[in-house]
Amino acid sequence: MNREEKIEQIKKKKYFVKGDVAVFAAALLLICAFFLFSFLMPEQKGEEFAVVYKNEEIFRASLLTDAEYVFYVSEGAGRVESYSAEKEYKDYNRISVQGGEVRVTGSDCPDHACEWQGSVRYGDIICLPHGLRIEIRGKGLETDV
Amino acid sequence: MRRCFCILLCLVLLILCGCAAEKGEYFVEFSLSENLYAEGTRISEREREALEDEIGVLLNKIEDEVSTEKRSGDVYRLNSAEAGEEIVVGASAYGLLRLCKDVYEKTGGAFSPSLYNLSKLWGFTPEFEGRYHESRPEPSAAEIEKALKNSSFADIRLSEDFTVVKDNAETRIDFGGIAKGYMSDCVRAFLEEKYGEVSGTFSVMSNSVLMGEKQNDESGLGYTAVLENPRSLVTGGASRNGALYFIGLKDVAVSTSADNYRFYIYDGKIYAHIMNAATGKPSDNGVISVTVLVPLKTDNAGALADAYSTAGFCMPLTRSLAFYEELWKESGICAVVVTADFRYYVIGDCSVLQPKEYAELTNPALAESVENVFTRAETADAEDSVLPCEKEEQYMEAAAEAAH
Repeated sequence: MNREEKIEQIKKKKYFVKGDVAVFAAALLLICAFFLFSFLMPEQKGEEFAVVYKNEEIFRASLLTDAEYVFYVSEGAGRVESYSAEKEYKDYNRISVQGGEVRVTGSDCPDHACEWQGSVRYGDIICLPHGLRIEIRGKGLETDV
Repeated sequence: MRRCFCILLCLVLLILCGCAAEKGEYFVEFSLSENLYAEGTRISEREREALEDEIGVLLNKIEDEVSTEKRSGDVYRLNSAEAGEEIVVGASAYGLLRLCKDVYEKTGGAFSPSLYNLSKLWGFTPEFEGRYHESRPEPSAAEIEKALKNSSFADIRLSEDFTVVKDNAETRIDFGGIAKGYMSDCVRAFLEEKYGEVSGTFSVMSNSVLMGEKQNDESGLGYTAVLENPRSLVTGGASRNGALYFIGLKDVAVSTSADNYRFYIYDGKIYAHIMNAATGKPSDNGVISVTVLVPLKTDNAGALADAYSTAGFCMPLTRSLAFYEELWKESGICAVVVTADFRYYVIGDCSVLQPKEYAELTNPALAESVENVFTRAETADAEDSVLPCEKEEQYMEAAAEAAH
């Protein structure tokens, strides 16, 4: 349709022509499809989490037991142990496991992005300043041995 | 009051000391399954935990005798003995040496317990712990030749009365390729003596024993075992740790030797901790993992599974496959050999499933997201020269990066 015809349509207060409706319908359909896809896809729940420091896994524990851990760097090596309120840590991230989810509840890193990520039950939490990555892992296939 | 407090404090300190010592000193890890049955009756959780402790003590005792590190142990004494000196050793060290002689002869020297000097030269003995992955150039040819000269098992003589004599003072024993399998035999003997007929599973590191038939077998698959994925760094999908799965197992000892524990990468090549007694270098035949399954009716099944998996790792591929073929015909021993071109060969009639097949049977929700890693090949098509595939190159890059 040319410019004059379009102006004519608008004058008649017909803002949508057939083609426009088709485009909007297609967009709406796509939105619905993505919406359903993200909710209905079976999501692999994590059962364990691993603490990876400088690309090396240094610790692994279950997500099924609530606990408080702390990651810290000592003499260039990353360590993870049970969190103790009495102790003072340097270059640390406090890791809390609750209800099958893991979150960083405290850190002395400059940006605190890891804390902002909140509780997660799949995916990763990353603390770039400390070179730390918390990975959630499904147990995968199980066997007797 | 104060005295009470002091005693209490001492006790607490003692307990804490105990914990620290136990963790630091012993290397061998052990786990006992929960589905443990004695003469058809389930062993309670409390009893199982007590058993685990009891077996832990037994294993520590054996480790004391046969570890190269324990100064009071038989192996340490033997290793520091002079040529011609008569050393009387305990039952474990002697039993192991006897078994080693048999396997040494059977494998034409591919399995040898006297390669300590070579392992040390290449940086794989325990004093290098924490540095195994450090990239480093090869030792010089002269150094290798010298270590090789002091690594002959023919220089160790056994007499009937637990006496051992070395003809070369420099020769050193290292039971790394058989001790954990031997320990698994001791654990089984202990359980059977205590309970008679036992069903259940346990593992001494990469050596597992599956006793009897699986009880409460809901899936009907019998015992199942995973062949650990030696390339989990770059492959595997949602179930990275498993590369292949065994089903329908019963009364069998399973042991794996692979190149992904103690190794380093230098100049685009993997140097694994398993030494080739013929070349004096880390084994380099394109074999990356060997799993051997020995029926429990065979004497010393655990130790043999351990030693045979090490032996096949050190042979050229076709010889390795022929060796396992012979074991299969002779004693019903099965083996799976995985190579650097991401193929695997199955010898014997064990049921080996790909991750996707196994997922379909046990956890269909994961069937889409798990990844088959290796491709089955026929033993008749095997060749000695194995060319690392593209994925293997990727793995080497990733492993070098991780070690860095």
